[in-house]
Amino acid sequence: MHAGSAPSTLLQAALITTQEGVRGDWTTPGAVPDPGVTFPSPTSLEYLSSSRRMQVVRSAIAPLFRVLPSGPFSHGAALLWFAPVGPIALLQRPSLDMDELKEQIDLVLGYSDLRLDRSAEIYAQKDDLLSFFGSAVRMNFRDREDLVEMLAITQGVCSDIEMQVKHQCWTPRPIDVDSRVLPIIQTPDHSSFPSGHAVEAFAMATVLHRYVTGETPEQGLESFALPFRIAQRIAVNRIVAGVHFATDTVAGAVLGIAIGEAMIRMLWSEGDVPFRRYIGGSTDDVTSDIILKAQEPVTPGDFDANAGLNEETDKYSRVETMMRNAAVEHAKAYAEAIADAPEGA
Amino acid sequence: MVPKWTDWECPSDVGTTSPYVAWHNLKIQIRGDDETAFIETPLNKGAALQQATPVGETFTEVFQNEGAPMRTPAKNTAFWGNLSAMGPTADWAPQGTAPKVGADTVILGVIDRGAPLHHRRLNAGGTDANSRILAAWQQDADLKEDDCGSLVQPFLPCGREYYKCEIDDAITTARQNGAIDEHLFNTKLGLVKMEGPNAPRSLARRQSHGAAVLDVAAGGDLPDNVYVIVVNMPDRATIGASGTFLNYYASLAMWRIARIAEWIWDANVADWDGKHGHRTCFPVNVNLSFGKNAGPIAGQSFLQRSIRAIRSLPRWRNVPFEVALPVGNDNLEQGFAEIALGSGDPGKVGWRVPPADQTDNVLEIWTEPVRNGAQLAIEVAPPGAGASLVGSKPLTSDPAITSWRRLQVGDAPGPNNENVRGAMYARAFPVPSDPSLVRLQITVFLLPTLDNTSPDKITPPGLWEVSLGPFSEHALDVTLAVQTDQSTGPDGGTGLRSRLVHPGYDRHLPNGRRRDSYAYPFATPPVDQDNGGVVLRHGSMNASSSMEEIVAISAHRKMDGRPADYAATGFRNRSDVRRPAASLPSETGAAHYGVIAAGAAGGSAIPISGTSFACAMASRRIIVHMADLLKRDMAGGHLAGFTARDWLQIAAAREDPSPAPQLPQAKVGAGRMSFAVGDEARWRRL
Repeated sequence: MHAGSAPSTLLQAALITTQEGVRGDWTTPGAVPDPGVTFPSPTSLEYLSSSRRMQVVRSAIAPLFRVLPSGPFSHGAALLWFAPVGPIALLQRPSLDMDELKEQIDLVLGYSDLRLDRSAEIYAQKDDLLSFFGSAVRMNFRDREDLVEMLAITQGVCSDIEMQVKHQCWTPRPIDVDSRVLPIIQTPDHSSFPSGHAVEAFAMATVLHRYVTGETPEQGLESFALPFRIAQRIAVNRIVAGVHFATDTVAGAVLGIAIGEAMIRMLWSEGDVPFRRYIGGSTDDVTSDIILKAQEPVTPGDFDANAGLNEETDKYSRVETMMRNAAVEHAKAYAEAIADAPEGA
Repeated sequence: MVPKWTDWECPSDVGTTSPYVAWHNLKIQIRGDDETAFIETPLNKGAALQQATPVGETFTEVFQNEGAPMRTPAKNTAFWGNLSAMGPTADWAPQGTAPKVGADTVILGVIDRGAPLHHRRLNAGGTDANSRILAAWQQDADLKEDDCGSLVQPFLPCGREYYKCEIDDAITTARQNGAIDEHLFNTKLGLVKMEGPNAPRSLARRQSHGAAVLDVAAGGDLPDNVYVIVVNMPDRATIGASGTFLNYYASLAMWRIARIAEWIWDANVADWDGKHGHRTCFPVNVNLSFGKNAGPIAGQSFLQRSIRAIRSLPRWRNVPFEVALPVGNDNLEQGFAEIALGSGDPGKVGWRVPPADQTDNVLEIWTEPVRNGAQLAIEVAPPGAGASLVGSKPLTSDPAITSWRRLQVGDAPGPNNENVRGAMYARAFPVPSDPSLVRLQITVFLLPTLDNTSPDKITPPGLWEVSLGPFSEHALDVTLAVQTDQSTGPDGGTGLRSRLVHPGYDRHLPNGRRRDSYAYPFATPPVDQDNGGVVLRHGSMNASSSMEEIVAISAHRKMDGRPADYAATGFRNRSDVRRPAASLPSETGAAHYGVIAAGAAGGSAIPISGTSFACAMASRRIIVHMADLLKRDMAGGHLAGFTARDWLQIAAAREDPSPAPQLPQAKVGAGRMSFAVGDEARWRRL
């Protein structure tokens, strides 16, 4: 965008001839700097446009997250590692046994009864979640621009992470299990588990609720605060549409809240990020108490790697091993970086 | 292959007295369905209809030979197994502590589907978690078991029931941390179940019929002596697309409301120090915003039998037990015809059956009184096939099915009737005033025109030709009514309606507007526009509301009083039970659709249209009036001999804004009442 209009070949040609016509002889000494120009402080991002600023921040935060698979060449479980804290979430996909997957179809078909009611929401939420949170709290690019950017960055970080987690935890979509689901939007090419919309919506709800009330996500879920009601509705709409199982939604909520809390720590430089885990499988429904129960944090020390795991128990053991090895590698890298650092750095 | 009708057969193969139940069972055979997958049979074993109801019939006597499909997780098999053994005094009162209420209490019963329990507008006196709902029965909820697997409510025939203290506690618990998770609340109480086909799900949607009806009838500010008993009936798939089991579930609900009222009365009467005079129970008005299009217009339905039986119980003989139903919304749906038969040519009317219709099409034919033993010739010719009239077997005074015909492809029905595509059943009802006369009923059933699971088990769409008579004995009026035809799916896309067609019927006026039963020119009397002959708007009033035991409510537009064109019309020249008692608003204005009522979510509001909501307003008016009468005289002196019909007719005649020229009674009954006589403002207050 130029000062007056959008880029075009005509404008470009016009600016070329204008420059030739007005600049004079540039070999003449005495270049005239713009008297009003300022140089940004290294700590300031105000000189950037909003979209560029979000890009910079997002790319700065993204490397702090790592998605570690349960095995180098296998699907099954994924651990989310967050640099300032360590492991913050573990998801294990449900069994791929077709009979067990069919047990979950009942709920998908039941929710399909709500399609006519939810059709507009489902369509709008294909690309836009922020507007729905923006309907709960006043925010736009004039009021609370920082909040809009925080939520957008959170959503962007989520989308990078969730795709890795989906790849590691691949499960079929409802349409693959029962063709009678007849989804009302195109079924995406990536994994059903976990629901990306749930990850993003619950991460945004976690950040928004903290921003507005200072409360934890558990407090927000217990009081069924508005951001979490919106997140739940967005997530359930994907079941209504016929592209997710209920367990995908609960898994997405767990992962999303973990990412949301990590983002809060980045935003306010404080706060714990408890370790959470969720093992996919049949769930009765998607209600606030089910999501809350799935949120019960466990500390890595308390975490029993064997608890609740079935045929993939040994894979989680490898995850633990990988985590230890990764930590050793990170420690080595840190030591080498310090040793190579120039004096005074 | 075009199906053909067989000749009339003996009834021994039918095994039931209700043609609807007979067809229900026959369809299971035709389609080879697993009858235990969703429903439980046997259904109807005894007399579904009786001309005269014995005085003092008990619940056991009424129901021991009746049945209906029930979702297996909701059905208390033990209850039904023991019903006969329990005898006429079988008690199905709740076990536990009854709510505390005063002697001046009046009870509004609301029988519907998807009625919520937690809306703040249902709080008594505006106090949070102080519901005015005394009891709520979810007929289709899964049975409740304790930790040891024993039924918590063995006294219920099906579903679950909650009482005021439980409802208050549930609301308090759900709200203790802040906002209520309505989906969680509803699923915990069994009001919503997302798993499984045909489960209760209305309250998970944006709007629910029951939420709107309950709000209009009992939401907002009401006198503090008005309490509510709610019954949520099962899903449409259980009731049947043709409303087959509506009367069954509605009757169960009526009995339940009466029994709960008795239980609460008995628990409280000792505290009243004789202030209740000679009354034996609380006055009750029941709102049932449902109905079936076709049926025994002169009464004789199972619902009527139940209401009569309740009213004849000693407890209720001197206490009002009133019932209000809407006239229905099918005035312009071409679902009703009247043919005058003579000795000349047969009477004919077309029956257009739509393609891609996934529900049965049903036509009920009734005659005016004829000689006991008379025969009526009838043919229902498929599209493109010629009609050859076949006379029924002699129909004698017997409410059981006396003969029936199959519609089949090929020469034989097949060992399990798998070649059958339709059926017609005939029976005769004695006329109480003259034992030598009967009224004949012939009910015609056709399979859908589209079936995705059994693609060959269909009937051809198109114009079926119905031929009746001639009838040589005397002039004979015969009515034909297309039965209720609803989709069993959530959004109504699978059930299309058939229509009766005749060249004399104009659907539209020359200016393109829909042609109502009457035109209402300014300052001159209304003009009858329903003069096409055979297919009529007059008489389209739903059959359920055409009985003396209930009051039928029609609807008009609040802004200018214009009768709603969709509101079904009563008969022209018949008794007052075959036309509306009064009319209340169902539309706000020409540019304002419907009336405002609660949506499914607490605090939400929706515009909604239809006679159901006019009926709910009437119920509110009735119960508020009863509450006022009782407050003025707790002994019930003012309520002695009270009937909702009489009061509505007086009130409507008084309130109608333009008594001259009088609007047709077939359309608005005694007149158009307002919702605004103190009540609308109170209703809006919360």
